[in-house]
Amino acid sequence: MSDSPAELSRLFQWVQAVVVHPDGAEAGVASAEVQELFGVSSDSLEELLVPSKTLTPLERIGVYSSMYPLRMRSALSVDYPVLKETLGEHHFNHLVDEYVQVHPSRHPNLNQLGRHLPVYLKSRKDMEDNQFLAELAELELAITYAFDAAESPPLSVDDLTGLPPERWADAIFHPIEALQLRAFRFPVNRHFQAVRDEKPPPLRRRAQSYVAIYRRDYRVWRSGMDRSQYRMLRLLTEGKSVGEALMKEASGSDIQTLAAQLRNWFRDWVEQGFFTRIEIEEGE
Amino acid sequence: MNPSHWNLPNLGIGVGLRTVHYRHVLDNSPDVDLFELLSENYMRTGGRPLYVLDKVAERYPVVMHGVSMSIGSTAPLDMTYLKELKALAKRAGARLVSDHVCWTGVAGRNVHDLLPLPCNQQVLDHLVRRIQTVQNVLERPLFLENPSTYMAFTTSDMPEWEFLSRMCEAADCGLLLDLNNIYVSAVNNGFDPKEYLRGIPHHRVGYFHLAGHTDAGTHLIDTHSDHAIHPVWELYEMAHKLTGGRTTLYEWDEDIPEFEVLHREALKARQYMGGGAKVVTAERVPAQETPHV
Repeated sequence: MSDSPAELSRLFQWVQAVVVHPDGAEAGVASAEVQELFGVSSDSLEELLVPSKTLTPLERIGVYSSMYPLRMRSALSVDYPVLKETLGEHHFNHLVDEYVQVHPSRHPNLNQLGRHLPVYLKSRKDMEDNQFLAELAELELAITYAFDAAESPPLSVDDLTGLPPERWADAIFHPIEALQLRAFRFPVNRHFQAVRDEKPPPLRRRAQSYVAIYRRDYRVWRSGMDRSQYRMLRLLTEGKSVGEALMKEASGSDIQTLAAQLRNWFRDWVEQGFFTRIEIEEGE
Repeated sequence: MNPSHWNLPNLGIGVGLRTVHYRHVLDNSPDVDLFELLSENYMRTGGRPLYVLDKVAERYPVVMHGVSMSIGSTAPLDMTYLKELKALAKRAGARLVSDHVCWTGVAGRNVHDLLPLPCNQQVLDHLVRRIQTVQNVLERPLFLENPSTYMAFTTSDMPEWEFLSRMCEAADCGLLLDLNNIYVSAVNNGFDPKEYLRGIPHHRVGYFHLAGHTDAGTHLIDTHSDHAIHPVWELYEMAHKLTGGRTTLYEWDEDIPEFEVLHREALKARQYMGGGAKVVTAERVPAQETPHV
């Protein structure tokens, strides 16, 4: 065999398919996909790989094959620590092993590996509590997004007080890159905190919850909120002006109540560093 | 090739910067000659890692070390990755940029392992073309590290040190010489590590890596989880003599100890340097503010 580019590519595909095979190197060598690339059996691997004094060719490629799942599990343990704690190490490892068969890494950065895990969990209807677990993973993924987002300087309370009252309705508040808003059907933020505090987590009963995940001073924070706050904040982060958001969210007489609440909410949101810039929409 | 073309400075003894040591490094500005940054830890992220990178790069010389270039793969080079790497090197003021002589995936997948290459002329031609492309994109020399290997291909027809020598000359690139990897590969593949050391182009060695490994009984694994063993230090001593001294970096990636333990391990290098090595100590700027992390 030569190592022309085509042959080299075939050799690499063979090695890769053996290394990532979920049942290990021996099963990998025998698999149909691998046999199509090189029709060599475990016993005739010396056609491709050199034995060492202590290891057969199969054992040698098995060194790489045995390290592959460990690396994938380790990477996702960093991104999903509470999911891992919730599932237990054994079940978490099993989940990762299955997940990477469907969503293998396709990026130079291993920190991108877990980006599909919430969607994957949602699709795993055979798993107990998969909807809850999917939302817990969604929360942890949002934390990763907030951690990795570009830095944007937050507005100060002074910026807020400097906004003339008559311009509030036309003001568009631009969120920091690191702000993530999530609505959940389960109280996953409370679960997350309980696991972190090593306390018994709440029951996995359905209960709508809303969370802002954001970064301030290079640390990621989570802040629970009610439905009205979430909906208003969602509209604002979508680029609606304060006036537009108010009109869309409030109906009839409660617009005054909502407008009054909004003043306090904005103070909290700005203190938490949710916004980076105010833009005033020019009126007609 | 005129060896002076490379004119590689000895920046001293440094360590690989790891997340668990961020706070210690920013708060205490330890007396380290330089830091090595894992390139991918600072790519596709915009928060604390870049803040730390900026602070460290303000105070110390840095070199950058990557694991995902996949220089030997038959998959197309990832130009987006290379452009991001170039921008990062500029931001950090990196003195050297390195990766590994390996491939990490094909057919759209990334295994995130340093998989070995067959050592023969056809693979060399393929590799050299890609290194030249990378150096053109980065607009700087690339330093490639000899990886630890656990298997070898029947199509290899030259020893690894000859392969690396030819690679360096043909591609006009540099070497990052990992002494622990030489030792691990020598045990796993049954070659003489000293012959390896004598066979590489010494003037192209940009810097040395040192680390610990794990003895699995039938083979050694490059785990970066322990102190370097004496035979590795002996190789370092020999490499130091052959090259006239180079920047030295200690890597510790698993069961990472306190920073002082890591730094002490790195400073053991002094015991194996003998005389004659000229260290260029970069001017360091003391920390004047309290970091926000």
